[in-house]
This record gives sequence, structure tokens and C-alpha cells, in this order.
Amino acid sequence: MAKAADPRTALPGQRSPLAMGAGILSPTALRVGSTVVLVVLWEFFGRRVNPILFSYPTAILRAGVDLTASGELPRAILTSLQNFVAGFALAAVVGVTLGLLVGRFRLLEYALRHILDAFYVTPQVALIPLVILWFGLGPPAKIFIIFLVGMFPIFYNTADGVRSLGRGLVEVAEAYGASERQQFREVTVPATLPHIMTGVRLGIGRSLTGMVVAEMFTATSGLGAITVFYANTLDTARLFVPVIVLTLLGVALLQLGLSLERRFAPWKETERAW
Amino acid sequence: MLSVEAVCKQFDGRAVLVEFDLRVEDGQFVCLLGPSGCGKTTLLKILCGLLTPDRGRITLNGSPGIRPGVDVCLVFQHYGLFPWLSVLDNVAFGLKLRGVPTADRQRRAQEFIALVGLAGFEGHYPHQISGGMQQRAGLARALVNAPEILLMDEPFAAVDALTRERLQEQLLEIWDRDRKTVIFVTHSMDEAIYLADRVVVMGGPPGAVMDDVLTGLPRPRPKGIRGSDEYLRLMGQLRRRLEEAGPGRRPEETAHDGKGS
Ligand SMILES: Nc1ncnc2c1ncn2[C@@H]1O[C@H](COP(=O)(O)OP(=O)(O)O)[C@@H](O)[C@H]1O
Ligand SMILES: [Mg+2]
Repeated sequence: MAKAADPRTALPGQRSPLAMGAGILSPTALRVGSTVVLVVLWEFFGRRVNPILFSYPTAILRAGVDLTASGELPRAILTSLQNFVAGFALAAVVGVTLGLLVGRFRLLEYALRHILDAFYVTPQVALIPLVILWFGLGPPAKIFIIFLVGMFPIFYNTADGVRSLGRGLVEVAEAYGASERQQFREVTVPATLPHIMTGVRLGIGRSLTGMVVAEMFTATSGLGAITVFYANTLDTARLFVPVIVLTLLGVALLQLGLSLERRFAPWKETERAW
Repeated sequence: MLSVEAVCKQFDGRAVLVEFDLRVEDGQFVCLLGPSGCGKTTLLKILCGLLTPDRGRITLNGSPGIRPGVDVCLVFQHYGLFPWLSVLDNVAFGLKLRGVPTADRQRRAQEFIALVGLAGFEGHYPHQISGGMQQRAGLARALVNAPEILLMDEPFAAVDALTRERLQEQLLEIWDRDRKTVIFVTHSMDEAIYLADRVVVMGGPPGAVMDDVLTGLPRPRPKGIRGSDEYLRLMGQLRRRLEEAGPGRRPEETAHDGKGS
């Protein structure tokens, strides 16, 4: 995702919004404006379509209010979030630990890397039926899927981060008398943190997708499950409600990932060749 | 006294140091002057334990157990500050490794930050301060460990000329407080003469001592010393030695009138 554009630093070939005349055309104003236009067009044309095939903003809003009042939507959000947090926390812990170990110990890399690669290239959602056989239709199956798909990007970024570290800063620590352990804890881990955070950000997106697919597949609870339910009952306005909630959730989690990245690697933009 | 005896080091079969000898008295400020690639960094890395010599002996006051970070500290050419640590934590790094309690090490780090003129910047991160300030933090990080020997590897090579002169003056002021041994690597003749009691000219690779000069210039260095006759004479002498110091040259091949210490 691109960084928020600064009106004074438009890309070459782009005209700065300020250059387009009125100073009121800030990026925020443009974003809000285009969103309003989109929603109005959607409302206008959406009303002309068969409500089984499509819906429009006011109908979705009404459906959203109903689903909230009945408690169905809050319940689904809570279930989804609980599973997500549990699965993703597991993914982060296992991914970072495995990544640090495989990045650091050559022998482990030789022993494990190809196996993990094979897992990674397997479309993991294809394992969902198997996972349901193991764990049943309840939360453990979903937590496992969220864990599985989110773990890999975290693992890969961490391991590659450790391996791409130059000797430079490790040597500094060594010259100040750091033991192997201290070199690892005081240099390797913090120096890898930016890569870990990139993995976390990528993992968030994949875990969210994994969560929805697992919920749709098991169709017992969560936002994915109510999406399937209202699709089957041809209540398209209600179908849109969880979809939009998922969009908002995705945006919020992505922002969280980006801010984690910035927070833990403020030096990254100016770092040297170390 | 630091004693380097018959040290040999090769990389992939290519000799970088051959039978290298050097003796440094306590409290001496020695500059190692030599062209790039002659093995100066390799020698410093051997001295601070980052590399082990293939052969030879290194002793400090007669004992071979030199402790990196305690007996010797290295100041790096590219500063080598940890970008995720504040100036304060960078300076306290060596103390932290040795388990000095937080409050204690921060107090001591603070003291040396003030000494190098960085008071007020202890909360800054390396990318927020200039190159000259980064190297002063690098110097404080070494000094806080109170090493017997301070090793400096072209520490001022990456800053602009004016900043470099200010840093040189400041380094001499700090050194003058307790006059610990300094081995300072440089490829600048001017820097070597200005700073050192003794300039060791290295040639190579393989690295060998081409000349060894006691400068005898007054301390503290008077203003305008760079224009004095003695200074210019030393410059001329070092220039001739350096011109002879290309790759593959050994001291036997050149007239040798330098006086050791
Ligand atoms: N780790 C290494 N592996 C192989 N060659 C090296 C290594 N370190 C240094 N060298 C070589 O040893 C020689 C001396 O290097 P160095 O000590 O860095 O020189 P200086 O600091 O005097 O410029 C150079 O030719 C360099 O290429
Ligand atoms: Mg060097």
C-alpha cells in the first residue's frame, strides 16, 4: 500500500493537487469526494437491480441495523475476532521462533527449509476438509487454519531477515565482548525486527482470508458463516453486511500492521549498508 | 605494554600480514599510516579479538588473554552504532553486556556522552544526528569501558574536512585527561602527524612496517602547528615512505633510516 501522499511531493508526471488551482483540493477532500460519488451512484443504480442479485447502501444499512439489534452481527464479529486473535498470535509466535532458528542455524535450515517450502506452495485452504476431520466444526479448526496461513509469511520474512544481516553490527557486538547468545539477543533479533514486522503485516491479510474461508466452509459461526447463510436464503442486503464489516476489519488490521512496522523500525528508511 | 610478535594472517591463501611485529608503550598515541588494503584493519581486528592470527603472539603486559570490550575497545570507521538504540543505550552497550545495573550504566554512559559533547542528545537515535556526532557517540561507547587500549579504525575518514579537524582536537583533549594507549589507523599523513606521538608507516599487502617515527611535536598542540617547519618536514618524510609503500614491497627493499621507539 502506498504511503499517504503529501501534496507538496507529487510524483513526477503527476500534477500536485495544489497546482490544480484551489487549495481546498487536499488529498483528504478528494478521497471523501470520490467515496461520496461512488456511494451515490451505487444507491442510484443499485435500486434498479433485482434485489436478489444486488443491493444498495440504504438497504444494507437497514439490514445492518436489524442484524445488530438482533445480536447476530455482534456475536459473529466477536467469534471471528476471538478466533483471529488466537490463531494469529499462534502464527506470530511460531513463525518468529521458527524463522529465527532456521535463519540462524544452517543445519536446521537444511533439515527443514524444503519441507516448509512444500507446505507453503500447497494451497493451504485445500487442507480445510482435513483440518475439519481433525478438529471438528468448532473454533479449533478455524484457529488452526488462521494459524497455518498466517504463519508462513512471518516465518519466511524472519528467516530471510536473519540471513540478510551483514556481519557488520554483529562484529561490533563481538568487539565489545558479546557472547554468541548476547550477539543473537542484542543484535540479530532487534536488527531483524523490521523484517518480522513486514511478515506480520503480510500474515494479517492472509490470516483474515483464511478465517473467512474456514468460516464459510464450516458454516457454523462467524462473519463468513452469516455471509453463506444469507446467500443461501437469497437475502442479498444482509449478505453485504458481513462483507462490509470484513472490509473495514481488513483496513483496520492493515493500518495496524503498517503502524507496527513504522513503530519498530523508525530507522529503516535511513539505514546504511550494515 | 602491548606486544605483537611475528603475527601472520592470510585470507584464502593470500598473505595479508607476514611476521608482523609491533610494540606499543603504555600511554603512547600511535598512528598506523598506510595505503588501503595493506592490512591495517586486519591488524586491529586481530588486536580486539575479531580475528585470530594464523601464527604469532599478542600479549598485553606480558599476558596473552586480551579481553575484547574490556582491555581493548575498537571505534569503527562507519561508526557501527546500533540504529535501534538511542545514543544513551548505544554508549551503555558494553556495560550492559557485562551486567552493569541499568541505573548505574546510564549514569556512567551519561558522563561520557557529556565528555564528547553530546549532552542533550542521549535520547536521539543514530539516524537523527550527523556523522560527526555519530562518531563522537562511537568514541563515548568505547571510552565508557575504560579500556587499556583504544583502537580506532579510520574513525574520521567519513566526515567532512572541518568536522574532522574539530574531532581531532577534541580527541586529543579527551586523550590528554588520562593518556591511555591509542592505536589510531589512518591513511592521512596530516592526521597521523597531528595526533600521534609516534607514526608507524605500513606498506603492503602483505602488511609490513616501512618506517617508525617519533614526531616529538609539543603537546598540547599549539595553534598553527600545521604550518610549522617541523610539521612540514615530517609530512615530507612520511610522503616519501608512503610512496615506497605499494603492494608487495618489503622494508628491506627501501633505504631504512627511521628510528623505532
Ligand atoms: N574477511 C576477509 N576475507 C578475505 N580477504 C580479506 C578479508 N578482510 C580483508 N581482506 C583482504 O585483506 C587485505 C587487507 O585488508 P584490510 O586489513 O581491510 O586493509 P586496510 O584496512 O589496510 O585497508 C585486503 O586486500 C582485503 O581485500
Ligand atoms: Mg581498513
